[in-house]
Amino acid sequence: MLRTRALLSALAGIAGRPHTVTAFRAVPLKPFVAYVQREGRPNLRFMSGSRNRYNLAGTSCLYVAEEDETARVELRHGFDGIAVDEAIFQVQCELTRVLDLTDADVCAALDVTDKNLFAPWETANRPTATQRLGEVVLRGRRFDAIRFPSNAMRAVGKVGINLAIAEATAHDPVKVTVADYGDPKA
Amino acid sequence: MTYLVAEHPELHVHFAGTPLFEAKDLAVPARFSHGALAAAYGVDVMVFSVNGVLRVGDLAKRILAGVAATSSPRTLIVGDVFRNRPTELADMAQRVFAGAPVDLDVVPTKGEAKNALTLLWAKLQAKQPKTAVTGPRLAEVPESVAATADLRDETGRLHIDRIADVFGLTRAALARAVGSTPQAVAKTPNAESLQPKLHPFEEVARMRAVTRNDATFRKWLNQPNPRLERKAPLDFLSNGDPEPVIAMVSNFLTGATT
Repeated sequence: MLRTRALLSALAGIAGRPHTVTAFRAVPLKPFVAYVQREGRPNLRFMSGSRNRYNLAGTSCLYVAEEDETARVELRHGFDGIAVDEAIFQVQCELTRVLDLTDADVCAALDVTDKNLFAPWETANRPTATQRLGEVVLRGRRFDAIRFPSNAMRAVGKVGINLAIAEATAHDPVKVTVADYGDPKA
Repeated sequence: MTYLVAEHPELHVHFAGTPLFEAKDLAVPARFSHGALAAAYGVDVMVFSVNGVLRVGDLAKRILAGVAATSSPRTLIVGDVFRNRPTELADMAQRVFAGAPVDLDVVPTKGEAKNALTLLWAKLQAKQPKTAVTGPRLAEVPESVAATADLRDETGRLHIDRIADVFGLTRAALARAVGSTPQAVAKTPNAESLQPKLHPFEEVARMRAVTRNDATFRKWLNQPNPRLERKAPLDFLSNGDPEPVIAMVSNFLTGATT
């Protein structure tokens, strides 16, 4: 992938696209219910600031999946053999400026390869390409979110899409509304 | 949609038949009633238990009568009759509720019915956030923190023997993992100097809020993991590199996609 200066230049030439979607997030039920019991209401955004595929530790953003199956598969990826009761949130997203990494032209402009998109970030000793890109995009103001393919779905031979939504956008009640949470599934 | 209820101290569940379990079996405050729907009052959810063959129309009529009597649009059907018949269920919902907001769920077992009712209670507590609020991390809620309370001794410090037991390690192996020696930890197994090195184990152990027993937790620790380049989580912990495992567990508890 491009170095930071070239990356900034390339990003300047990419227009974020509007994207409206009902997205999903699966969380383990037990800690969630305990949370609601304590707080009296759910704060469904749950941006922990933990290191993840498109952010380093300390950068808060909201990760959601575009399909409920993807959310369920993502929750369990790497946790095989553990029975998880889950709650599924629906997150209505009315985004206006999305950097779409499922678009081959966008990836080509940023020199982002499949290897970059699916590289393991957990074991990386230095920021990965997607983390470097995410830090620039999610901390900047030009984009609301990054749309990217799900590695967890790929691992089970399927295709799924995720969104990493910038913190400011996730808190924008016009752009992101937590709509509902549905049935727990064993 | 999210239901907005200012105060809702307990969940009122009305069973259109014999209750499938007791209110005390739920993890949330609940009040159960059963019998004639016309007698029900302030019902949050009606529960219909269905076994064997049932005509959709008959069930629709019963639900419709229940809605009229209780003004509750929420219905839980326990039984697997509709599991593979989603079209019929949608059709029934349309007929019963005639386009009104509907919350019609079908679960196949009593266990899932308990989960569904627990979640409904949480839903009734909900207020749609009007403004941005970043709350505490899910990994820090009491349930998660309680999952590691047994790792600390009566002084409140993390105790190496308790951690070794939960993680399935010998004291010597854990001592080496935290850069100490078996002799040193034998002398003071809850030493102040050990606390920062033991804290990562506590963070990982918060996963026990989800796993149902420690055997499951230990099995996961020892299995090659696809997100860790096929190495086992315990390999990272034993080698003094807990961060990849902590990041995994933290994102798991908050449901962040990867």
